[in-house]
Amino acid sequence: MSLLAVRDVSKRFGGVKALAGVTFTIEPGQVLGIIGPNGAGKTTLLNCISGLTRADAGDIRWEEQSISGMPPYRIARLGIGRTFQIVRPFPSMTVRENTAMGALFGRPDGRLQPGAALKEADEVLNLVGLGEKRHHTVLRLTVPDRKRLEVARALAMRPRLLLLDEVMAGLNSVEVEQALTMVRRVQEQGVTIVLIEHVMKVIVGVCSQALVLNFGRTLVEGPPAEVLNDPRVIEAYLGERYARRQKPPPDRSPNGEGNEKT
Amino acid sequence: MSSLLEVEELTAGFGGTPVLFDVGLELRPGELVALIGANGAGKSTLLGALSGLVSVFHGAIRFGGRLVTGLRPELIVASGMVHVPQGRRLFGTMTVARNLLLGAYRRHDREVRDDMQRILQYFPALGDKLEREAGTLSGGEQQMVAIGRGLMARPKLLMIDEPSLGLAPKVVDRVMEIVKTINQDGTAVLLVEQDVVLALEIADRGYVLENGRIAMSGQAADLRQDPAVRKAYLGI
Repeated sequence: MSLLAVRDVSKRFGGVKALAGVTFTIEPGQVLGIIGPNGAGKTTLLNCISGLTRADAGDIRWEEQSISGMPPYRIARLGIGRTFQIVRPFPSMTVRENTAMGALFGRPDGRLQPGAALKEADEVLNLVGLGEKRHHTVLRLTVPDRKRLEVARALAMRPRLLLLDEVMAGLNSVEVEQALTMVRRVQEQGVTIVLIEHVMKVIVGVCSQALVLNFGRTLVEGPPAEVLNDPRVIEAYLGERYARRQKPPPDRSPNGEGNEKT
Repeated sequence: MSSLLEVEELTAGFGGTPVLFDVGLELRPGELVALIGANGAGKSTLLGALSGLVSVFHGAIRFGGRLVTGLRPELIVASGMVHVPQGRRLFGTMTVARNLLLGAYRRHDREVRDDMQRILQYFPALGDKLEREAGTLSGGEQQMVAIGRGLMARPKLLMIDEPSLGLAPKVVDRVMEIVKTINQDGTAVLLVEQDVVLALEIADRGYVLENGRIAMSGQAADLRQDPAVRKAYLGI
């Protein structure tokens, strides 16, 4: 049984068709990477799944049950957690208190007591590598740490499916490696993951499947190594220069970016 | 040749807490210099200090031979040092044309409109979108508007903070090409960029910032080959 099934989902904003009939499924334990040009509909798709945006047509099913039209908080409590591209932590609270919010309000089994929520927060903060900074105010955090906090807040809800919207944007290669380790650790806990990224190192390094959106439609879907070598994907998204910079085939190691120039 | 920008012993930060320590940096007219370093190293803070947005505690910033340390941001812009901030920071509900014109806010000459036409030649993608609200453009187009807005101030030095942020690989390449072209047309560029491979590919020289200090500097080609840089920033 698929964990999540998206069927023929469409969404229009005024004259712009953001999603024009997208269909795919996510199996338990999978890490699905969604890539595609800016404006292809990637974030709109996550918004439809998490209930922030209501699709105009199509259906989204969580373990066979339709969640179309459900409010975001109910979808969250079913076990679908997400992060946002623009992080919005509570600035006056510590890292730990911010994280505890997810445990306090986002759990399927009702609210935790504050003490239990803080304990839960400590656990996920250790998982994402922020344990030592749990008493910091969020304003002191660097960009990579703010992204980690965003992931921690979602994890504190104990989701079974985690939607990550560009949590590695703005990180350099080495910081991306650290973030990849975090994602793998989360996956090892049994969490299924869908992530949007423009960093191909992430797609190759951690995803079992890649989905390319273009103009609100699926362009290509398949194993990352195949998808990134697909001429249609190079044409629409990666660009010739990127393709030339890569050493084909990119399936040997996640460190695809060579220094050789052709 | 004399320097366009000369930074000496710069210590700067927020609320009395320094983030940058004893930073020295030089940029010659027409140069493209990359500033690289981990997140939190102080790259954006350095651009902020140069723009007059971050308090300078100690040291000197000279631009075109003139001391500009402690000047108000608008006077620094008027002197020819212009900042394209991280995350574009456009006025999303205003049109593209108005966003561009805001870059010339301090100019009162008659050439502003002509400049806009000239600048749009760098960004053909924006040509038919001048009356669109900036917030409705794609990320790549918004970055182009942000760079175009900077150019509207007629900078001698354009400081660009992470133009590749959140952009598709193909668009990143396009934006970098545009930055290089702008530089080849005579504008000096100080480029902060996480994609170190790309930044060092188009730059003449580079500086590496670590924990608020300049840890290394040199020709871009040398930095690309440097084992410490490769290990720390390229993950190779």
